[in-house]
Amino acid sequence: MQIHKEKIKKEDGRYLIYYTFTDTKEEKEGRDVRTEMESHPEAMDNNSHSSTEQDL
Amino acid sequence: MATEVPAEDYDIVVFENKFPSLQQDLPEVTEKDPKFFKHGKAQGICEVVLFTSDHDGIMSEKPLSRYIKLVKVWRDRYQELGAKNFINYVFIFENKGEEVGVTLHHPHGQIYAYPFIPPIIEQELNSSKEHLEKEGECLFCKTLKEEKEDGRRIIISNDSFTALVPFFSCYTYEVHIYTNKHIPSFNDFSEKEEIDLAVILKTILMKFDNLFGFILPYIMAIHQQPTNGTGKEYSHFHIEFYPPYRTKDKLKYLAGSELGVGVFINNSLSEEKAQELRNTPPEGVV
Repeated sequence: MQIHKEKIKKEDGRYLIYYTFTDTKEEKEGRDVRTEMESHPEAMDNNSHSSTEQDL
Repeated sequence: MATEVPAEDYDIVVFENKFPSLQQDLPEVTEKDPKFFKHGKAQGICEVVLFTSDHDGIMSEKPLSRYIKLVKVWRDRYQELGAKNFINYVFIFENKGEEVGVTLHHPHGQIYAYPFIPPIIEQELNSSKEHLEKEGECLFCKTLKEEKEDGRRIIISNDSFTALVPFFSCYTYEVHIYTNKHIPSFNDFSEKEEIDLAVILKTILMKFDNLFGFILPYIMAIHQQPTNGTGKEYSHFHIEFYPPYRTKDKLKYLAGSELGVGVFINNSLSEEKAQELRNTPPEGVV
């Protein structure tokens, strides 16, 4: 997985960085993190909590 | 976060904190020649890291790939901020939950880049350096070796990392994650170690949220080598989690003994709490 970043300047002068990611050729051929996790399916389980979080 | 991030959809975003405790460009301190109380510029950088664009997202439910991306971003921030000549320590952390004073519920963490080495880190490094000089071994390498030999406080481990409730825990469900080998900082991570850390982090967060049936609040602190280049031999990358709950409905408060004289009272056994976390889904080593 390759990391890319784009830095912009906001109106108030602060910077903001967008990070994006691309799979490498090897990962696209199937040896990505999903393969890593397939041998450990328990690590992919979701718990069943509903969010208690509020909006800003 | 609509007011902070122009894009509606994004992967991971980092931006300068709107209300920073430390700032890059500051005027010189005007008061001259302090007689007793020393002061200086609050110079540094404070960043916010948004882990996802999903405002109501729950990190323990996110796929492993999100954790891998986050580890990569943390590593990049450590390197970029640490390369600045006025930064000596890059502290990556997360305050999670109203119980620890968090009002922003969007999954996020923070980074403080300090012009000095913070006191807890300095004390930790001094102890590790002293142990290295006396015993020829990094204090954290020795601690992990002892924990592995005993085994009772270990929660999970993989090729690169071990998560445990430390022998000296101050909080009931305190969890530390150590690199298995001596790795001073993100600078020294391999790609496999990035993935292995992501696996351990996701597993611990799932256990935390399954422990009591609600999203467990915590303070997370990443300790690693100062970026001024010192301490490579005795800095040992590790992550510390401090959940404030001691039972499902009781919080740990810092009171007389803790704040008054610096003695933490912990009425639980690390061995029992590690067992409890081991038995909390997902069980076993992932």
